[in-house]
Amino acid sequence: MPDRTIAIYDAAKTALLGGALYSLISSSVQPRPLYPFAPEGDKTSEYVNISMQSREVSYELPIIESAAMSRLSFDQPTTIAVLKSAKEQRALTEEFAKLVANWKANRSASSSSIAVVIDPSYQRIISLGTKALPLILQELAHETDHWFWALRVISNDDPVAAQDRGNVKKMAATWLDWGRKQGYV
Amino acid sequence: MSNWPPDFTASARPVFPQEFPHLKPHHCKPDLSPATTDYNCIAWAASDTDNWWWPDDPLIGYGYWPNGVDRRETIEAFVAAYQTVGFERCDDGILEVGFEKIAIYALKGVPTHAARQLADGNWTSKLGPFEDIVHLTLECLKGPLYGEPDTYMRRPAKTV
Repeated sequence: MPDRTIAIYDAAKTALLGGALYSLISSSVQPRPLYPFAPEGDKTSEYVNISMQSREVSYELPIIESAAMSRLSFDQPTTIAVLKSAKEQRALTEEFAKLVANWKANRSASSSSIAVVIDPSYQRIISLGTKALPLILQELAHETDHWFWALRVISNDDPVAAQDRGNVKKMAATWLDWGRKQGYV
Repeated sequence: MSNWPPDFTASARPVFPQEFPHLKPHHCKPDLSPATTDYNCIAWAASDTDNWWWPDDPLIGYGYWPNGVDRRETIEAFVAAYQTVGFERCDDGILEVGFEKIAIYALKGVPTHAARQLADGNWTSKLGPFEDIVHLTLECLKGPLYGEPDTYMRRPAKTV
């Protein structure tokens, strides 16, 4: 077990130096306190937790990987791949945040729902595809806004009941519930 | 008196001076609400703060539009939508005791905005996804975004 732990630590360190933000590494062994320790009561406590704090970088935005990750084996190449994924996720998160900021900054005072979504940044978010869904839903949970068009186009789904159409709060709640059921939230 | 950029509005959007060249600080009373995307001007004119009204295509859109009313961006469709909440066409936006009036703005014949008259004769508007304001005249919001007041409607004012 010690050897395995060291290997994971080295792999994680390499990836962190390469820009990975945060990783949760599935383990078939009991978690050992590396650093930082998994927070008390953290739902991820079954994992060994390695974060950017090992580089003294104050990122506080954990990217919680999907539940599928818990099915990954305790395997060195797999672990590295996951960490690279975290790096890509960071780039996606940064691009998404920039596009959201542009969309909101460029808004006019038009009440047309078409005008709200015709913005190039909004359309660019749609073009990110399904990988943008968790970020959109996260944004929607943070602040209700007109993400419904994007969610509908990307997911090719529409969980909103006809009688709720136009009620932004209800539509947001419905989409967040949909996201939870689909594993995006 | 403040100058543009419009720091007298809650959202202080840098595009407001271009969109509303006639809106000046002395035309505009303190904002009624913070910015919200929960409802828009069309809803606000009908005193609905729960829905975003717009007649977009139901296959791709998400706006609320009253059942049975054409989902088209025409004055006729907007008039029909407001008729579902008790408004009828009238001649002008002059204050009439006992009536609540609205004005539908249009740009090149296409509806863009609606404002609601208050009991004191002032008007209130929701600026798209931004805040609600009170403005002294309908002319305050004339411009390249909303066009100008096109159609007026009224309904009996609610008695308190």
